[in-house]
Amino acid sequence: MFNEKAQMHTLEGVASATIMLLVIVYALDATSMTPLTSSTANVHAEAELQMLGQDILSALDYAEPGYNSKLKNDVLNWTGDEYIWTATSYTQLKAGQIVPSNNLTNNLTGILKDALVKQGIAHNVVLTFLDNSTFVPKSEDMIYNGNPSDNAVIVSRKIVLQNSDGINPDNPIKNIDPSTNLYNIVDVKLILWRM
Amino acid sequence: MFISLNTIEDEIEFVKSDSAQITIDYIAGIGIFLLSVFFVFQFVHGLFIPFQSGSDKATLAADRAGMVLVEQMLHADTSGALNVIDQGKLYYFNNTKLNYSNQTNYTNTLRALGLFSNEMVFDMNLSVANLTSYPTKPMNQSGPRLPGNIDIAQYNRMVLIINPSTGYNVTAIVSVRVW
Repeated sequence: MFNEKAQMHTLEGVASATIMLLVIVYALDATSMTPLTSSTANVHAEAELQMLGQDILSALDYAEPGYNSKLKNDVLNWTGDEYIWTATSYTQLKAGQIVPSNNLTNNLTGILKDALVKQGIAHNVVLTFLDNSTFVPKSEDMIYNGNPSDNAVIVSRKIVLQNSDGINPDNPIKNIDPSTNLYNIVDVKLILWRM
Repeated sequence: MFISLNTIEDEIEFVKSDSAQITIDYIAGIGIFLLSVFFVFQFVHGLFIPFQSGSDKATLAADRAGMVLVEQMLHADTSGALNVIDQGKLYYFNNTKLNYSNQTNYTNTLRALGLFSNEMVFDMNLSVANLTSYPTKPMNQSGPRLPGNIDIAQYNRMVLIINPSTGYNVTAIVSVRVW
């Protein structure tokens, strides 16, 4: 026992394993927080994103008395096509293929470009309306940029359409009650998430 | 020659042996030493936390002031939406109420926004920029210059500035900066 040799191989193994574990734990803790990291800071980021989304929809849905809001006009003029952001414009996406000749340019895309694309915020726009035969809510994508992350936020705004509003004939939103002036009720959902 | 070869063989045998290299006494000693270093660092850091000035207070103040400003003080009376603001109120606020050259007006405005009291004193800068040119060319800017060496809290809102009498409406970003 009184020579220079050490006593245990096992203890060295345990010590090195412990050091390795500590290094891994430290490295994981030190990893910088991303916007998608779940934490109290992330709650704040989500609240800001939600506020921005609500501001976008309410700014678009403002109308002077007697006029349609910009958002309502965009819904009325929609042709039922799906569009994707292609770094320069919102281009039609048909059966998974981009149709370069067909771009969407309206009030909504104008504000989305300036408010979201500049900041690198990914977004989808989904319109939910009542199906005129089954009266079950039906959702269709107007702008689709991929599946949202787990930390995505959804903001929505309801738009009431009347027969007298002059809807685009190609629009998949149909009249749910021809006997009255009510045409349909559309829920415009804006889904936002940080990349 | 023979002796030195023997010595080398002995050395090789020693290295190949079952014995480990680190003694248990050393491991115990260094372990306790590292633990105490860790503890000292953690403890000393905790001692200074109450004296560190965080930016949380300014962030909360900026959030509150920005919200009061957009949703109450500048809010257009004709609109139900929270982020629609009146152009006339914005101009008055920008040119008169938050005019830094008139200290009485400036202090009263900070008081109204909850940024100035016996307990706390904040400074505030407001800038409004068109959404398309944000953040390079502000349309309106008021309050003192931003300081370069302290934490500044910022609250941004996207607003619609309207003027019901002229039909003017423009989407803009309102930035409230507090320090």
